[in-house]
Amino acid sequence: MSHDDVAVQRWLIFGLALSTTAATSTRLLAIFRFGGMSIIEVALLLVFAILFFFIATSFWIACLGAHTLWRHKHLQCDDCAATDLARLPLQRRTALLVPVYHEDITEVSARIRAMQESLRRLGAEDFFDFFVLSDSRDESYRLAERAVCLELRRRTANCRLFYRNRERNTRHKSGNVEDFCKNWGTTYDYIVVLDADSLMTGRTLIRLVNAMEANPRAALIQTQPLLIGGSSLFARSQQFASWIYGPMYAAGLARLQGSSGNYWGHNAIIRVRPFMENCGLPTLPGRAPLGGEILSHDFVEAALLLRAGWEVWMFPEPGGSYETSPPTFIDHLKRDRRWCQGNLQHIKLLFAQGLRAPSRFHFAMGVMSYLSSPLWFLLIFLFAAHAFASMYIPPATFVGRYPVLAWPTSHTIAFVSVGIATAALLYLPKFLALAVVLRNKNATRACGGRTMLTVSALLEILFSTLIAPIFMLSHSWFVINILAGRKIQWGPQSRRGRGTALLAAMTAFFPHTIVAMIFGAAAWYLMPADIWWYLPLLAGLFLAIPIGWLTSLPSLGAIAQRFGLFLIPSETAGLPIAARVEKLASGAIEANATTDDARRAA
Amino acid sequence: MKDYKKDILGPTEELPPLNELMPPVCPAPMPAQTILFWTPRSAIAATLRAMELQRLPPRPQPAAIAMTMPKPNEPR
Repeated sequence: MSHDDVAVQRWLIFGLALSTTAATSTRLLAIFRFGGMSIIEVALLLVFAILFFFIATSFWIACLGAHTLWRHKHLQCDDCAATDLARLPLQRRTALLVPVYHEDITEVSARIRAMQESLRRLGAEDFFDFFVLSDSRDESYRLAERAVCLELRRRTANCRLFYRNRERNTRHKSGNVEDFCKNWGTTYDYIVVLDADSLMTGRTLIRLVNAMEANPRAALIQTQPLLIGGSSLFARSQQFASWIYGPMYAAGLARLQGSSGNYWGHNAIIRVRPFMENCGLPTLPGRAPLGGEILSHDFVEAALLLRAGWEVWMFPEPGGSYETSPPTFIDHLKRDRRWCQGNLQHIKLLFAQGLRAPSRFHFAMGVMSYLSSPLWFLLIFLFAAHAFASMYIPPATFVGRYPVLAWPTSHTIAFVSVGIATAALLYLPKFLALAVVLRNKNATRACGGRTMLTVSALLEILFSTLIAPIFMLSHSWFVINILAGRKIQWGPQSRRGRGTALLAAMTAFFPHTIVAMIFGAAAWYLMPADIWWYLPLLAGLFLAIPIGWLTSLPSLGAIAQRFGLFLIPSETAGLPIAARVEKLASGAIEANATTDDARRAA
Repeated sequence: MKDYKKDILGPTEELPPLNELMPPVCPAPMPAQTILFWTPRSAIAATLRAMELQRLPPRPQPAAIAMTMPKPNEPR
C-alpha cells in the first residue's frame, strides 16, 4: 500500500466522520433553533458534536477494518509485502525484555519457558536472549525471582536467560527498558518488549525479526495482542470481545496508519539504534499529574520515532501474540486509573512542536478514550436539564395586551432519530465484526459454532451496555481527581484473581448505586414520561454491585464455558503455547504446594 | 509468599549475588529528547512568520535583475 493510498484513506475517514457529525448535529440544531437557542442548548450541541465526532471516527475505522477482513486483505509493510517472511534466515540477535515488578514469578517463568521451547522447535533459540528486568523492591520477591531465573538458566541451553534487579526503579517500565538499553542495548540489534503477562509464539517472533530485516526504515513493529487465559465471567467476556472485535479495529487502524503507526508498550519489536537515539524521554514541564515524568511512554516513543523520520508499523496478521485481561472489574478499573493519568498527560503533547499529524491523532484518541466519560456524563445531564426546562415553557406569552399561545410542537421523532444514529455508531461495528467472523467457517467453529457465537455476541453487547455507565462514572471520577491534582502510586498489577469479595464490590460500587438512585428518583419525580430514555443508564449503575461481584467469580466463568458461552479459539481449537504455559505453571505451583505440605508435616 | 530459595534450589544451595546473572555491561548514551511546546506567543509568531513568507514576493536574484534590465542605449 503506497503512502498516497494511506493519505486518501485518512482523508476519507476524516471526511466521513465529519459529515456524519455535521448531519446529526444539524438535525439537533434544527430542533433547538425552534424558538431560539438557550445556553443549555448551545452547550448540549457543542458537547454532542465533540462526542459524536469521536464515536463517528471509531465507527468508520471499524468499517475500514471490516472491509479489510471481509476481503481477506491483510495490510503489508511496504518492502516486506511480497516476501515469505518465515523463510528468511535470521542474521541478527534479539533481546526479549520481560520487565517485572512484584509479579508471580512462577507464571512469568512458565511463559518464558514456553516461548523458549517454541523458538527451539524452530531452531532459532540461539538468536533470542531473554532478560528478566526486575524492579521489585520487596526482598522476598527478589529472592524468588533470582531462584526461579537460576533454575530457568539451568534448563536453558547456552544460558540464554539473564536476570537483573535495578538499584533504583525510577520512571517505572520506561526507565527499566531505558536502563537495559544504556547498559546492554548496543549488544543487540532488536529488542522485543514484553509485559509480565505477554506470550508470543516462536514463529511470530521470527517473523517480526524478518519483517525488520526486510524493511530497514522500520524502527518499531507493533503486534495485535489477543487476550487469553481468563477464568472469571468478566475476563472471559473481555477476551471474547478482544478476539471478535479486536482484529477488525486493528485492521482498520493499521490501514489508516500505514507507516505512521503507534506503540502500545508491549508485544512489539524495536530497532535498538533509533530507539536509543530518539526515545530518551524528557520530563514534561509543570507539576504532576499532568506534568513531570511521562507515564504512558509508549505513544510518546512512537511519536519521537516518527518525528525522527523512522517508520512505525502494525504487524498485519493477528495471532501469535497474547496477553491476559485483568481478572475482575475492580482490577480493570484500577488499571484504568493509571492509564487515565498517563493518557491525560498527552493533552500537553497535542501542542508539542514538530510532531507528525498521526501522532497527534493517536494522542487525541487516547485522551478522548477517558475524557469522553465526563463529557457523556455532562451530555446526559444537559439532556435531562433540557427536557426538564422544556416541560415548563409558559403556555402563552403576551404581545402587549394580547396573548400569543405557544404552539405545541413535538420533537420526539427528531430526538429518536438522533438517538438511533448514536446507537448505530456504537453497536453496528459489533455486528459487522460478528458478520466477519461468521463468514469464516473455521473461526465460527472455534468460537463454539454459529448459534453459540451469535448468542455470546448478543450477551456481550448486553453486558457491555450494562457496564458502560459504570465505566463512565468511574472514568469521570478519575478525570476529576487527576485534574484536581491527585496522583496515584504505580503499583503491581493483578493478573490472576480468585474473585472479588462481596464487601469489596459493595465498597467499590456503592457510589454508582447511590448516583443511580438519586438520578432515577429525580427523573421519576420531575419528568416521569421521559424516564424510559434513562433506563439503560440507570440499570447498569443500579446493578453495579452485583455485576462487579458476580462477574469476578471464576465459578460463573466456568459455568459459562460449560454452556459454550464466550468461547475463544484458544479454548476450543487449542493454543499449544498457552496450554504449555498452563501446564508448566500448574506443575510449578503443585511442586511448591507439595514442598509446603511436606514442611508442614515435618 | 513461598520460600522459593528452599523450594527450588534446596536448603543448602546459595543464590548468586543480585546482578551476577547478567552479561557484561556495554554502556551507551540514551539522551533525553527535547520537546518544545506551542505557547500562544510562539503559535502567533509562527503564524505571522508563515503569513509574511507567503505575502512577500520572491526576492529577485542579482543575475536575474541584470538580465531583465534594458541596456542604456537600447530602444524601449
